[in-house]
Amino acid sequence: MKVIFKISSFLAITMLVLTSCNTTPSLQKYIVESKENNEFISVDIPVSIIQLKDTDISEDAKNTLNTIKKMNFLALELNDKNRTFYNSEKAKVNKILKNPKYKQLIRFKRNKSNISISYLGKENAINEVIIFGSDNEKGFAIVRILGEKMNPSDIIKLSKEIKIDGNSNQLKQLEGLFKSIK
Amino acid sequence: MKKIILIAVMLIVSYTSFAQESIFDKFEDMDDVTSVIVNKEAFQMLSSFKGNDPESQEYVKMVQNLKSLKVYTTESSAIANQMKNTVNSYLKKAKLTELMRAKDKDGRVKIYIRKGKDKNHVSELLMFVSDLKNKADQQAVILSLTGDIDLNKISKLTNSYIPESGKQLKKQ
Repeated sequence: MKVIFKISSFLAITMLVLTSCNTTPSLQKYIVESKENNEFISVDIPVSIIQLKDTDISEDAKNTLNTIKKMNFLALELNDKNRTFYNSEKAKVNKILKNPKYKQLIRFKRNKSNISISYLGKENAINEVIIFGSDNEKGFAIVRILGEKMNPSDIIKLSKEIKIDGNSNQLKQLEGLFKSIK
Repeated sequence: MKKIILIAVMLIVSYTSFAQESIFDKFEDMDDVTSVIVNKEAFQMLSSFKGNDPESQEYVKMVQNLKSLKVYTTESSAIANQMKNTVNSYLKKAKLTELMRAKDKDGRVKIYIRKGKDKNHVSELLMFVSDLKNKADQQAVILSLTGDIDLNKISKLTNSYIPESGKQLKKQ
């Protein structure tokens, strides 16, 4: 009986050790910390920036849109001086995304560039979508779309239905911003 | 007593096997390789998009039971050789059956399968295309597909990576 007890306590400890590996720094924390660093370019966009033409939009579509909360964008541009920094940061992000709680959908690579798409949550109730792209000549970028129980099939439906107000001032500002980054 | 140890070992093994990686994963880190990896979650998500037309429903039926799709393409002949060796050593270990083999002026195609629940279904499909001559941007292609695969339907998917492969599959 004692032996069983010993084994089970040993087991409990190993489990604890193994699961505690999961408490690696989250992407959220990484992004917040990196924003402080001037090497990075970061943009936070609330979804309210998409102004809908209120005409003929269904209640369902509005509800779907309300599940999407905001978007984080973080990028590191590669230059002559920061290659080591780029490599170590890229490794950090990759390590975070290796955590099984990030369910990876697809990974695409062509020569020196990589793109991966992962999500957090359930397949029909997604809380976070992460797009991570890197190019060993240009730099890397993380796009994080945050929401509450986002349903992918509803969002696809929505994208077919809505007409985005292209003249919205906020959208124009955004456009200007992206142009200046380039 | 033995049982307990066995259970302990199984638990730990099942834990670590989470991170188990395939023999082909190393090609992903090589510079001259183009790769596409689609995971189970993506197939499940795709199948939740219920299209209305029969064609997309057919597509959903085909992908919903897939576990993974991996495609590696290279234009470097050195890597093409490595791919050949890796495929050969994998075949020895994995005990796949050869479904077909074809060679023509453009290159060689080999298709291997692992048996599934009935004669139209396989649980693993491996395609290896090598010695490509008429394509400047491709030397070799590995396509690995796992899950519950309907051979009659899967040609649509494989065709988009390896043209004409569907025809070969349907002949079977």
